[in-house]
Amino acid sequence: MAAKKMRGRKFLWLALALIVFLAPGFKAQTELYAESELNQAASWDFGLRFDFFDRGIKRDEAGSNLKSLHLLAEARGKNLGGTVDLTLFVGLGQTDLNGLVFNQLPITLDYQAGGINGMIIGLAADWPLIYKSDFKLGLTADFMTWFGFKKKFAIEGFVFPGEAKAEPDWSQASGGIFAAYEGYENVEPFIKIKVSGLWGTFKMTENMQDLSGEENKSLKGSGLMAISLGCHLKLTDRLYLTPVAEFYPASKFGLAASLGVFYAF
Amino acid sequence: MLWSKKRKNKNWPVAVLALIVFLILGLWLSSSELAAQKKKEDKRTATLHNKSQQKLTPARSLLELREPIQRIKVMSSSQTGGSGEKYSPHQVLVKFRSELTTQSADDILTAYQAKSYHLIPKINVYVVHLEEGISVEDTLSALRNNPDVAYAGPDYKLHLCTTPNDQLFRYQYALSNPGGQLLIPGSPTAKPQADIKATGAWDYVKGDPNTLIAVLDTGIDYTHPDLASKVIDHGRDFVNDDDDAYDDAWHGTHVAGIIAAATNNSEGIAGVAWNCRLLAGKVISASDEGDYSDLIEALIWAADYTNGNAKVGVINMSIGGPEPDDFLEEALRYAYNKGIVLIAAAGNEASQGISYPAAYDSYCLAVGATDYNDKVASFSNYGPELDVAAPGVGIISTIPLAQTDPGYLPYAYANGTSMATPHVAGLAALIKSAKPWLGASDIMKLIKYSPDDVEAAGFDDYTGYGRINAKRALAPYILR
Repeated sequence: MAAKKMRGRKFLWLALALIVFLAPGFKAQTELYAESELNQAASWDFGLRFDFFDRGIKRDEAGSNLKSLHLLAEARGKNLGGTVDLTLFVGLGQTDLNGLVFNQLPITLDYQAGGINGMIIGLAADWPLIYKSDFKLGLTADFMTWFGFKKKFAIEGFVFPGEAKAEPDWSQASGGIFAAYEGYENVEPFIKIKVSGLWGTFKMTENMQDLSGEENKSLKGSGLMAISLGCHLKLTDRLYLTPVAEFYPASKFGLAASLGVFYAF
Repeated sequence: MLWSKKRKNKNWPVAVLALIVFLILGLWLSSSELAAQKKKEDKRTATLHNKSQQKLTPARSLLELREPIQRIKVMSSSQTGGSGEKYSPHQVLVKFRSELTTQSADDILTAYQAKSYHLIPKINVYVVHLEEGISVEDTLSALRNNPDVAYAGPDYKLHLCTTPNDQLFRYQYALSNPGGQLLIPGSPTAKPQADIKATGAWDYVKGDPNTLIAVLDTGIDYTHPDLASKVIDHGRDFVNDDDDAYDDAWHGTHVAGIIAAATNNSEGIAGVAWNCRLLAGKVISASDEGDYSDLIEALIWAADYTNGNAKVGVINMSIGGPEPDDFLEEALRYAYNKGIVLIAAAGNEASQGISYPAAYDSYCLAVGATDYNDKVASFSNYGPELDVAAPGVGIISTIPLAQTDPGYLPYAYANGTSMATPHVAGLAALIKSAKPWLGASDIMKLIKYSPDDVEAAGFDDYTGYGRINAKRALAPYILR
């Protein structure tokens, strides 16, 4: 346990050191970049992305995994302001929080009802700072939040019919560095190393006649590290795929995978 | 940026290959880490499992039945078994929509990598065995998204209910009624499951020693072998005005045993509130008489009582009088406002009208008596103030050693709403132990809303909301 914490701290220090190392060169590099032939006009790509997401979470004393499936519409703005690639996305997600037991309520509820649908919105930004040979290095950040739609359940078998209402939500924010290789014609592999946090709540209310209760379970991602590996894979002049695998090497190992198909305007 | 630069490098297939290798390596690492994690958790679970293995008249018209009890062989305890898993990690249950053909169902199950499966006829449910490494959760998630599937769920584990090893537990039909001919006086034939489902509740809660149940009665024989470890101190005698609530009758000791006799100690009986402790307040004399003033004083005393971290969570009053009284109501309110659950007997006159304090509906749960067939006991009072019922016929419990005839065990059978009330008090103590943050009002509602409806449908004046069901009140309700 202590060793894991030490490794986590080492990683954090390394990430911070890299950011500090990159920061002084930022201004000069941005100016260079703006002047360079690489500087292209801003453009937008649109597409669809499918995510599978399985990340370890801590909830109260126990730990488990949060599993989520997302279908997202995504817009990617490239070279905005001459420097930043900005991605906006919105869509639907189904999150599975099976196994949560709400034992603070008058009638203890054991959630085993599977996925809850909800809405996801988020954004991501890549900020290239250094171009060296065919490599590109920079800062990256992303944020997404999922609002679960309220899901109601009947509580049966008691003297009076009861009702339970589930309202979960979670958010994830990450920030770190990325490196991409632009040396190939049809594929651009990249890696991102990020500090990533996940937090959320699962609110459950129950009502039976005049007996009622409410319990909020807090959800917290276990671990703060995320590593993404992916690429932009050119299919035609305007169509490309972006497969990404993301790892969360924490006490509860998690991983995510996504596949997007985009059209460049 | 890709597409913005026109490089001439043609090595991209090599890069794709490298990326794939990288991803596979990452996935392999993640699965090894998961396996190691699981192994560690399994080991931890096993360790925990091993550790756990080491290890105011007294309802006025009481009818006492004493029968000689033969010494019986002590059976080995049958504790909750199994691995502790909620459901099988290798099986799921699936039901397809009725219009689907058997061939289509077979195709779907094959597609979901079923190792094997078989059909439970009549209800057309498939028991599906999964391949090694295929998770139940992922399979269920996929099946539930399949429009041809009507229901898909885990295959939950069965286990034996927690059964204490107390020598006389088999006589306690009120806690677990096997049905058939009962081992109680008269050997009546009983309806199976006409009990309070105590064993099912003990799977989840056995009570907290710091949750005290005050027994305001004739006192408690705190020297009784089945009670000595459960009575927190000598209590308070309000009749004789001293600090020794020793039972000079028998009623309070009998009530106390039903609530919280030492349980799973290979001797005597089991108490409903397995681990909770008792506090004696003597308000009824040896001649079965008591004054409201003593009860009022005892209520205040019990409400304020603390001993270390222990404090009173429930007050049992298997006593009653015919008249309301403002001061009595005020004392009840005082205890209720301190979060204490008040339980009182309806009375044994077989008549309309609930005794006081039970009839104070706002502060007190009024308890009637049922029998081994879930029928209303012939003596149980009735009326709209009655809240719930519990077994009160042929109830075996502790009696003072001084009242025990030579050659007999210090246990006896008794009938009365006095004997029904402590079953409810025991349940209240289990709830209070599990959820100490709940107020008296919520615990009373939980007890009222969770019974089995045993008389006329819905609320009735004879059993109130029904015969209490401890398992329903305490076991998690599964949201599916």
